[in-house]
Amino acid sequence: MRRRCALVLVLLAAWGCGLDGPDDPVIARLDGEPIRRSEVSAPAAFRLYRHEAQSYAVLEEETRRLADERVLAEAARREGVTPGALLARVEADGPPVTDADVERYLAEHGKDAAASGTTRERVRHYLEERGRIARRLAFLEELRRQAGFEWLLAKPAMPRVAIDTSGAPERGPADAPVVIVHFAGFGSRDSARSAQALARLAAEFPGRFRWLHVNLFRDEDEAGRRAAELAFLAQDGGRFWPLHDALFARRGRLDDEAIAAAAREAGVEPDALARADRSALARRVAEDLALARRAGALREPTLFLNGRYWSALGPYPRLRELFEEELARAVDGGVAER
Amino acid sequence: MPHLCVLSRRLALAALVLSFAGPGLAQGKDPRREPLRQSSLGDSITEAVNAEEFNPLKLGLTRNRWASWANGYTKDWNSLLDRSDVNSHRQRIDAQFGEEGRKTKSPAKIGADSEDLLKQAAKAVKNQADYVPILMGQNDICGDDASEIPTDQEFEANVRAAFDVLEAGLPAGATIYTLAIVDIYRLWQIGEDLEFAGVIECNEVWEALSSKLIPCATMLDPDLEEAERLATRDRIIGFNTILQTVTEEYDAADTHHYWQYTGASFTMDYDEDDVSHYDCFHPSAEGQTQLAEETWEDGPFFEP
Repeated sequence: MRRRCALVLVLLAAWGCGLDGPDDPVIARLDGEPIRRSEVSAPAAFRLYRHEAQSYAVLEEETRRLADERVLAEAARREGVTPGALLARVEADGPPVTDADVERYLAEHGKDAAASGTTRERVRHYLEERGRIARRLAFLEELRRQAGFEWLLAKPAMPRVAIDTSGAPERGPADAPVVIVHFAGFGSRDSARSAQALARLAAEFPGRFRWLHVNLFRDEDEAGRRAAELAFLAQDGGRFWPLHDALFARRGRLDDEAIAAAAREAGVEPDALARADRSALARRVAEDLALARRAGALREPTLFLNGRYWSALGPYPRLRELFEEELARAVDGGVAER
Repeated sequence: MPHLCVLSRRLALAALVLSFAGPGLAQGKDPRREPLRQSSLGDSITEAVNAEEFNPLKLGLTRNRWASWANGYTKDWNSLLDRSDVNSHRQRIDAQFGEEGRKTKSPAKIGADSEDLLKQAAKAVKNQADYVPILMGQNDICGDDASEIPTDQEFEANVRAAFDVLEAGLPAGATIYTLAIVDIYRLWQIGEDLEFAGVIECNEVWEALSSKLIPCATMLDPDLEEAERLATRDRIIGFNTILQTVTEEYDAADTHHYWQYTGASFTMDYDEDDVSHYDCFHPSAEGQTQLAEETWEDGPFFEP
């Protein structure tokens, strides 16, 4: 009976594979119509990837632990001792920490040569611990090497995210080889910095990328929320980017007065919000925040360069490097993706 | 090493008391007081720094006291501001014992380490606290380098000095609840996992801070080797052993007060969401919630 069930399952699986294709299975149906994995995984690719990466790290850690346990048990068996006793012997089998070692550590860490006896005692104790642990780690690594340990699971690759930015304000040529989506909040100093970095990139590579803005700000950033709402009004009036630049020029230091001043500079009516349909604006803001969540942008500022994630807290040279990679890829035949 | 002498004396006294009182020692203590006057000792974790809200103008350290595992609270304005309810020890005490006669203090201070415990203990005594939860030691572990980490002897002496003050000055029947130092190595692992995944958010955050502000260079400095991080972690384990041993010793010898230790704060398996999004170091509101729950459920007043 069990064998028959297994056979039915195998046949069902084979039939299922034939129907859906192994790489893009049907994961749901609606009114009888299939919904394929690719339809939902593309916009959520980065979020899924983070889970995969986490699973990968757990598997690697546990595999290494299991391998260590086995090679240690075998080595201990050969020597006729317990694994614990063997490790204790390995850890103890090292040169004692000398005064010179302590002095070297202090010098390397810029400590005064006249450091107190207590300080030296602290360092000595630490170096003894460090030596003990280093000997244990090296011993286990050598045992694994001798046993031919191989880690075979491939690291998950970071995906490119398909972000539906229709309706988002954008600047730069429509056919630019690189599309950068900037998830940022006007009330944030970090977002102001990343906007500044993008402006610098635009100056260095004129006409080579299209820049889209999506609002993402912290819950408590009320000024940032008001600025985002005003920015939607500015967008409707064709003044988004002047306001964007004027707001970010405040470097995250926003209050009502600063927002009004930025609006005036950008040619936007400062009192426009008072007369606007705030609930409609709040809905547009909420849509941006939901888009950020779906894309996997957990906090501002976050960039996606042709769909490739980058935490925009990082330094400018790294941004430039990533941009050049994307540029080269696009020139080599890739297609700019949002 | 005077502390060792104190230890032997205490152990002898504890053994003597135990030999007469046997397992019924707890009954020989003064009746336990309801934990209405709470005085929480600790550092930035107890102050819930950067748990939920962040003001970059405050040197990267913003107190979010409503989100503290120990003294966190909810008020009407908190829900208006969409702030988290961490269900802290204080809130659980309110639910279990009522709010009448309630007084909650927090001598905990950002940057405090075991040397500051004495001063904080004196404040708890001044407050005549019935309940003194303690989460201290993270800043003993976290320094610019290993020369800033106290030896076991120094750490133990600091703890004993503070415990002596509590023993001598707290009202009879008060409870002292010592929490283990949290596993800062796990924090590093979270950052490492993120970096491995190409997300590198935590590492970017740490690098965005100036080198002097790396929140815990002895663990988080990217240039450290694995053996160095594990050596730092061993110091945490060593200090936790001291906290446990000393707490149990005081509980055995002190007939006026109840002393209890928990390792739940160390073994707690927090993940990315449990860590502050602002500094990738302190517990987030979710982390504070978990810390409150796990330590409460392993603590002296938990009723299943």
